[in-house]
Order: sequence, then structure tokens, then C-alpha cells
Amino acid sequence: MLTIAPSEPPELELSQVDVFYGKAQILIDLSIHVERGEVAAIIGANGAGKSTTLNLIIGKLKPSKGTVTFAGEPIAGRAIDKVVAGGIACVPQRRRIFSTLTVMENLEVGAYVRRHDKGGISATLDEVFELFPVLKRKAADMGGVLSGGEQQALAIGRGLMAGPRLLLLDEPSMGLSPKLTTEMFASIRKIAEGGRTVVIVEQNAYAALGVADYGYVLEGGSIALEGHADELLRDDHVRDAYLGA
Amino acid sequence: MLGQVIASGLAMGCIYALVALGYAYVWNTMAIVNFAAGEFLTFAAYIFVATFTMSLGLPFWSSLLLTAAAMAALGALFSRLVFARLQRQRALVAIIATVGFGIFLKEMARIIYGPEPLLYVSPFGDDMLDFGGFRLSVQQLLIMVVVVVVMAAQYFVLRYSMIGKIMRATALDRETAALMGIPVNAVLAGTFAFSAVLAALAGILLAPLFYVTTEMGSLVGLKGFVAMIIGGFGSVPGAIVGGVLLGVIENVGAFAISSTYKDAIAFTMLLVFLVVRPEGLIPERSADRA
Ligand SMILES: Nc1ncnc2c1ncn2[C@@H]1O[C@H](COP(=O)(O)OP(=O)(O)OP(=O)(O)O)[C@@H](O)[C@H]1O
Ligand SMILES: [Mg+2]
Repeated sequence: MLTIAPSEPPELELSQVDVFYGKAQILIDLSIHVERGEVAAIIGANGAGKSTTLNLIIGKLKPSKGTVTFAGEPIAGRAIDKVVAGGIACVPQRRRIFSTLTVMENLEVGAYVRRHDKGGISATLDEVFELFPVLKRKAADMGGVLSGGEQQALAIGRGLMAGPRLLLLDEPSMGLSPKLTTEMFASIRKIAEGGRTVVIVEQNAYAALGVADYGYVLEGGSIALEGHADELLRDDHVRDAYLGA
Repeated sequence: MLGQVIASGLAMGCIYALVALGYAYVWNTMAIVNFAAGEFLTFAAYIFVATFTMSLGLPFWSSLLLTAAAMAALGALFSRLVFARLQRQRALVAIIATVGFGIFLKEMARIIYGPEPLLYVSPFGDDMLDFGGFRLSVQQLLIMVVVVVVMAAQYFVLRYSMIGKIMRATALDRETAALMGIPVNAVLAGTFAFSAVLAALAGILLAPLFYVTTEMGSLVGLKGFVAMIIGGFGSVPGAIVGGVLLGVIENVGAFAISSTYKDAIAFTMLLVFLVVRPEGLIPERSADRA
């Protein structure tokens, strides 16, 4: 982890946010605090509000109460393209690869917000190919023919191509074998070590807390528990409810 | 004689291909059918002939560019104002809005330009050119050249440019495209504008072959739709092949049977295809629509 000067604002802060879908309240008084360079995990069951939290950060949803700040700046209510151009990328649940675009085209489309920054794009492309060599080998293949693990790699690579400081990952372990999950989370750890801040949302608490510095347990739209990742891994409630121990 | 029948069928088929391509683009990105396409064609023919050529006395290519620009603006505005709102409700509502807008355009043409048919004489003359026994009029050649250039250009743009890539991404999965920071509404408006330009080109190229009337686009619009179904709903190469095939077969059929049956032949073709090969000649792979 980076050492943080005390004056530096948190990279991401959600402060007492409420989010509604119509009349249904999905997030209740939610607060999250992520320091620069940190990996944060938000674990929770089906329907706990994990994707909703990421949709709020990326600008798909607006909070009816509370604030969202990125590097000290309020971003709640900004349009998605502004948020992405400002340095946040979201890797969606179920990967959502553009199936009839090639691997390379998927990556290029991911870089849309900085399409004029050729140098930045080619540097990130090298980084992505180093992280996931399979994407380089299959650059000319259609996205839709890749295996589940390859598609997840592509989804993450596509997110990185926007050049984000903050990367949001929505259930990257979904549908992956335990072995592939371990590999995927090792790659995610590397992304953070490259200087990016990462927020992972997961049902697989073991995998996510295994690479995270700090964790939150989301239940029914609010934070039930938070703490350092290794503390949460030892916590009785977490073990009972999320680790099947 | 048959050569000439095929030549004029090819030219007409190229026109259908333009219109069909417009349907395919709009279908792929918005999942609706723009039933105003025929009236975009009509309206474009009017502003090209009556406003830019006759009133302002502009040369052919300037009139063409201005007409294309005006129709692009109209298409973008229409999709932006009307669709952006309606589509969130239901595709059917948006489709009916296109029908309504078509009627509006037709009536506007009548109000602005009057009920009399306009005669437009091509500045390129009506000479016949001989290609080793295969005879084409200058206008037919112009139609084919313009259509081939447009088809090639759209292919390269769609395949290799950033605009083409974000259009394909938006067509596949609008929500994820938006998540990448792609301005999805602008892409949709741009697609609609492009389909309006295709219809405009069809109107401009048809003007010297027919009188310009408020009805001139209706049947062509429908046949363009038939062409897209024959080629494969939403399929870009299908639209081109379907259009050309429809133009040639209806013309040859009319020549062999009777020209009275020309339109009947076109719609019989539609029925035959719907029964025998409903997915069309070059179906869009199901994987193309996520
Ligand atoms: N578009 C929507 N309209 C209405 N309710 C929604 C919508 N999207 C999600 N919800 C509801 O919000 C709640 C939280 O959904 P969310 O997708 O954030 O859960 P999640 O934690 O990501 O679950 P999962 O692990 O299944 O992805 C659920 O009860 C869900 O039914
Ligand atoms: Mg979710």
C-alpha cells in the first residue's frame, strides 16, 4: 500500500447515501471510504445492493441523499461519460463483452473516452497484454468465442483501456472455476500494485477479501460490518454467512 | 432488349438497396423500423429539385450535399426529440411515431411545394452509354456509381473507424456502451441521420426518372423494406443483395409477364421469401444481437 499524506483526500468516498429504484429504497445510509492505491472489497449476497453501489459511483444512478466524492470532488449526478473521462471505469457484472467485435475492437471501444491520447492508449494496451497474454494471442478473435475466464480478462482489460485511476469490478469471479478465480484475483492485485485503486464487489467473500486491504459487508442495502480484510476473514459473522465455514 | 431491362432493374435495385440499408442501420441500433423512410426520400427529392436546384439555381453536386445535410439534420433532430423520449416506453410507440412523422413530411411537402408534380431534367443528359453491348443511361450509371461508393464507404467506416466500432458496440449492447462513456444518444441520432441521408440520395437519384410527387417515396420505401426482409432483417450485406435482386427480378418479371404486375411481383417475392427463407438470404447472425 502507498503511504498517504494526511492532507490527501480519500480516492473514493460515499457518505450517507440513499438510493431508490422508484419507491423501493435499495441503498440505506451507505458510507464507504477508499484510500488511494487501496483494494477495497464489498461483499454481499444476491440483491444486497452491490451492483447498485457501483452504478451509483459510475453515474448511472443518483443518490436521493448523501454525497459521492472522487479524489475530493463531488461526482454524484455527473453523466457517465464525464465520470469515465474523469478516471473511473466499471467492469460490469457478467462481463458484457461485445460479442461480434474482436478482442482488439473491444479494447479500442473501452478507450473511447481518451481516443485522442494515442500514447496513453498504447501504453495501457501493453499493460493489458502483459497482464493477460491470452488477449494478445486472441486479439483478432471475436469477443463472443472466448471462454468465460478469457472474457473476464477482456472485460477487465477493456475497463483498463479507459485509463482509470479507480477501477470498479462487479463480481469478477462469477462463473469461474476456483482455480481461474485465484488467477483472476492475482491479476487484480497486480493492477492495484500498478498504482490504481480498486473496488471489488463480490459474493465470493473468500476470494475478494483474500486480495483486499479493507472490506465492507453489505446486507439489505447498508453496511453491516467493515474492517481490515484479514480481520473480516476471521470474523464469526462473516465466516458463518459468507465463507460457509 | 433484355439487357436494358436488366440495366434499369439494377439501377432501381440500387435505389432499393440504399433505402434497405437505412432500415438495417436503424433496426440494428434502435430495434425499430423507420416507416418514414419513403417520405424522407420524397421530402429530399422536393428540397433538392424545388429549393436548391430550381429556386436557388445551385449546381447538382452542391444541391446534393445541401440536401443530404438538411436531411441528416432533420433525421438527427427527429430521432433526438421524438425517439429519445418515446423509445423508453415501447418500441411500438416509436414505430408509430415514424409513421406519423412520414405523414407529416408528406403533407409538409404538399403545403410547401404545392400539389403539382415537378419535372426534373438531369443535368447529365439522357445519353446511352455502351459497355460492350450492355447499354446504360447516364443516370443509371450515376445511380450505380453513387451506390457503390456509398456502400464501400459505409463498409470501411463501420469496420475500421472509431465511429463504426462504437456504432457496432451500441447496436450490440447499449447499456454497456454507455458504461464505456460512449455518447449513446448521439450515436443513435447519428445512425438515424445516416439513414435519412441514404433515403435522400435515393430521392435525388430517382428524381430525373420519375416526376417528383408527394407519393414518389411511398412505394420505394415499402420496397426497400421488402428488400431488407429478402436480404435478412437487419443484415447490412443482405440489404444490398436484397435490394439489387428485387430491382432486377421485378423488372425482368414485368418484362416477361406484363408491366402491370411489377409491384405484384415485388410483393409476391416477399411472400415467397417469408415462406421459403424467412431468415433472408444473408441472415444477420443471431450472435450479432446480444
Ligand atoms: N432496475 C431496477 N429496478 C428496480 N429494482 C432494481 C433494479 N435493479 C436492481 N433492483 C433491485 O435492487 C436490489 C439490489 O440489486 P443489485 O443489483 O444492486 O444487487 P446485487 O447485490 O448486485 O445482487 P447480485 O449479486 O444478484 O448481482 C435488488 O432487490 C434488486 O431487485
Ligand atoms: Mg450485482
